Amino acid sequence: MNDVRQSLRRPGWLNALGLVTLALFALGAYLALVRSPPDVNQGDLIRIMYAHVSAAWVCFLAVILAAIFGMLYLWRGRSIDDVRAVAHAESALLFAGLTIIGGMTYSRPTLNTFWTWDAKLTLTALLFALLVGYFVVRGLVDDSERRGRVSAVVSIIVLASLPFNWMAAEWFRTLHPAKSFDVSAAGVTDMAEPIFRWILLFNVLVAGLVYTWFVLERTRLGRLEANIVERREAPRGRREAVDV
Amino acid sequence: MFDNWGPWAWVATAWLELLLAYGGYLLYLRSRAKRLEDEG
Repeated sequence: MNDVRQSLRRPGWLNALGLVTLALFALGAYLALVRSPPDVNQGDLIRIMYAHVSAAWVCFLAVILAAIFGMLYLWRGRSIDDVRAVAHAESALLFAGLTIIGGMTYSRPTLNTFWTWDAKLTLTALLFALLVGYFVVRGLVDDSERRGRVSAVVSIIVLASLPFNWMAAEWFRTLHPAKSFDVSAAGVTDMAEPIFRWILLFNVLVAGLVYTWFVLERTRLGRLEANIVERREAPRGRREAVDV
Repeated sequence: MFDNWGPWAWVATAWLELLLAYGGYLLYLRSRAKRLEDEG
């Protein structure tokens, strides 16, 4: 019991990272809500963009990393890769939900509608539904190895939808604005005022740090859970061996 | 219902959503840790 309590104690560096992240989040909110000038077209509503776009970018990153760890699990079969894939997939679901809700909050005052079934929004809803499916599948499969393999395949399917989502505003007719910020081979080509760009980048960095902290903490807990399950199953395995 | 919401009401809602989502996930992680402690 004391062993579990001790290993449950969060390492100091992770606590420190959490505090730094919290401070930077407060600074990011200050920059977005106080320091950012109103936009010529959107006025103060531009302040929603910093929250919405950073959540969307981090969601994409989380989907990519969940699929990479899913692929690693398929390749190496190590349970830690599955634990990591789940940690990234949970954050992907969280940030996908935030992207959708934040997008609706941004869309109502700027485009006069909460939702429309155009390509960009439908693909984001599909992304969210696939991520929910990832966890439904995990809940349905009892065997841990099979669960890891099946959910890894689902994470790859989620990843396959990503390029369409990323490019939807360019490829299809949609209410969603085209990217206001484009990273091309020639460098960063921004179509917005520099101050909007820097405040956005700062908030993307903060959302990335929040995501990193969530994943590290979730992975730590996932490893401990896996250890407990292994320890619980080990004597049963021995009992079965004796029975045979 | 939302027609008379000013821009700052929307801005506050969007940032509040962020806080609620982060706070909610932290609570979820805490509940997992608590369950581990109880089971261990």
